Amino acid sequence: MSNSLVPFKPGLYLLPPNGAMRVPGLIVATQQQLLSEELEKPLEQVRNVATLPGIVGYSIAMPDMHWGYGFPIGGVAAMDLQTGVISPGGIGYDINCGVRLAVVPLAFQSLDARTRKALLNEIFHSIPSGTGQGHKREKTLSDADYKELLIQGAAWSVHKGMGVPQDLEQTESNGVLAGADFAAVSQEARLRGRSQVGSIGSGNHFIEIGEIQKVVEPTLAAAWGIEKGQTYILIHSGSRGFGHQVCQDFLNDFIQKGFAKNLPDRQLVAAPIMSSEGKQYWAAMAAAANFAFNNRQQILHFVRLAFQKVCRLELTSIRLLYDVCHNIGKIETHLVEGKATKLLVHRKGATRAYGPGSPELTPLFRTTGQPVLVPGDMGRASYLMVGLGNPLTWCSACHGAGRAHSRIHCLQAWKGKRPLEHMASLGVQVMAHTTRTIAEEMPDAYKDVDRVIEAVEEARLAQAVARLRPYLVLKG
Amino acid sequence: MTLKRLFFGMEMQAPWPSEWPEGRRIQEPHLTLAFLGAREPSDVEKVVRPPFHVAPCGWFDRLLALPEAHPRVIAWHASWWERSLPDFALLLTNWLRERALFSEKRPWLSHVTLCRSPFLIHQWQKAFEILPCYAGSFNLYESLGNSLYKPLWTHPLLPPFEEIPHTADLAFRIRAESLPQLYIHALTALAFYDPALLLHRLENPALESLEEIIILLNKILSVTDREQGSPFKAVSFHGSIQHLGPLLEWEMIIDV
Repeated sequence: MSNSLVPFKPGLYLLPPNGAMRVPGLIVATQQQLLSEELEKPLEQVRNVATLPGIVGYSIAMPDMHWGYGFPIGGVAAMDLQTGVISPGGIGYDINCGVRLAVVPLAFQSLDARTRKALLNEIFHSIPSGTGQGHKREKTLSDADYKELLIQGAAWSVHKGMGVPQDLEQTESNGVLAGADFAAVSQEARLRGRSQVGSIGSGNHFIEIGEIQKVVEPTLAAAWGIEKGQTYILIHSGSRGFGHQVCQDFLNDFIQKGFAKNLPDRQLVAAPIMSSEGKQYWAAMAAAANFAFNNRQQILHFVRLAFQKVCRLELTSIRLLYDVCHNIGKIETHLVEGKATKLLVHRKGATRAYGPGSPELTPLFRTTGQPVLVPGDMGRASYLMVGLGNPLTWCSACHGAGRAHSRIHCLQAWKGKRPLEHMASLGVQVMAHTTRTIAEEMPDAYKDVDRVIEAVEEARLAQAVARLRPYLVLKG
Repeated sequence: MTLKRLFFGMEMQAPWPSEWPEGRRIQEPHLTLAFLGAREPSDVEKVVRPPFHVAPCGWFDRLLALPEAHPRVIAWHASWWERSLPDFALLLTNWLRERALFSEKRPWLSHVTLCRSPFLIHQWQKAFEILPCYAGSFNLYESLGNSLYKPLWTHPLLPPFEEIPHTADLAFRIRAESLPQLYIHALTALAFYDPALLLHRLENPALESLEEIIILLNKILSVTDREQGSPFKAVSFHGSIQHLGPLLEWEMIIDV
């Protein structure tokens, strides 16, 4: 355990400020995690983030923390709008990478083996996944459509018939980030993203279908229309090459303009929020966020079509529960020294977790708190949680289990073995374009999500509502 | 006297395909620099060695069926990023000629033989795709017949890159003897994962800093993602160049 950490509250530890740190670090973790995991590298990044001008409160790290780019993955930092900075590394290359959970009015165990296989095949062949798999459209996206998509967010896809208006209410920020500007986005980003809307991507992105295995909070689950045994759909994807390029463009720009001078880590480069560079980045970042909202909206639409074809379900019977962002910058109002204050909250591998009463939420979630989606791994579980609105973390929680092992370690561990057969022995059917992808994403690559959930609950950031068990997985 | 059929060559490293067209495959692909015929190994003990420390990088850019008139072997032609290896091939053959150990008059053809007949040329032509490579070590080989070769001695070279563990993403230790070479070796490391990057390579760029290298690598990555798709999101701005004697080292981390 790092000698510098000081117990603060249950599940929360302080990293006292030293050197150039303007605020303390706040680490969300269980004691066992601190004893058993190698955390020095992400903690160094927590210290570095704490040096950024205008940071308010704490430099925060979630229990799924690991080494990132400037910010640790699992990092949260809020900035004063007037004096603070905006950091592309604090939002990530995959802008608005996020997760959405939909529920299907079918008991999963009622799907026989043939139906499950047909469903997975249909999804695999109708939704592009893996490297270079953009969407083959009958018509290319026109410039006008592309511009509207980037400004309107997920509403664009709904208006085009790929979803229902209720989907927008069940999406964080109604599926749109304000302030997007097409002109702020480079030609290269537009070219990269043009054919990629409605595709999963590669790496750790996925579509997962499974069963609500266990209901932990029955009252909440009932309010949300969640039942044990129900079929769920979980989608993990982001802004694809569009977002990657936006991040890269602004990292290049900020570094070349000297904004990285005097920073402990070049990847932490940031521009004042109110500078022209900061505003340009916000405008492009919002466009990328809206690209990602459309991406997940369209992917869900195609999964709905697959269920319609294979299981003869009405499209509208498959209900989106919620969609969350976990690589994002948001302008939010929080109490700072008792005063309602607008802050720019960076969440890099962290999820918003508003509690009951938050005005941004729809009436249902304003009563209960918002859903928080925590994907684990394809062999064990994912979690549906409810946000508790903890002000210490600016109403933020973790975003996943976090990797435990490197890709090269996993490839070596599974070399000569049969990962697909192993997953089948666990009852999980997996499809991907390469066996390499499957080996890199095997369950043992990830930390145990149950331990991460324990840490989040101990720190009172969010509370488990249901445990989800995957059975059909499409890996990017 | 123990005469052996000897030749000098470089052991070749590449992300070889997992499946090949039909043919009698050469199991240990190598780049022949000079074939000596039947010689005493002691005749060449003091041979000139490569003046470079890090394995040179290149790429296979076309198929060769040799000899052209009646092909008996399939080979891949290797192009090299820098002159160091072709210059060494010339240095070596001159050294050997001066000692009457080598008499080949034809210019050196940079190629790696992959299989011997029988084969179907059109199958090999269809299967060919650009592929990165590097010449891993300088060896004196004995040709044993039946496409079998045995290194008698090896002059090792440092690998231009090595993959290192990184929990969330991909990481490589890149080694080079100059800044432009750092770019070459970094791109080769990436191309071992995604050969399509080579289609958009930039040769002889003017580079003065690590930032410029990273920006250029990301430009190549962007174009590749746009045209063919790429598994990489971006090369991060992590790290700095470490100077270790005559060598430069950089820990390159790529978001995937």
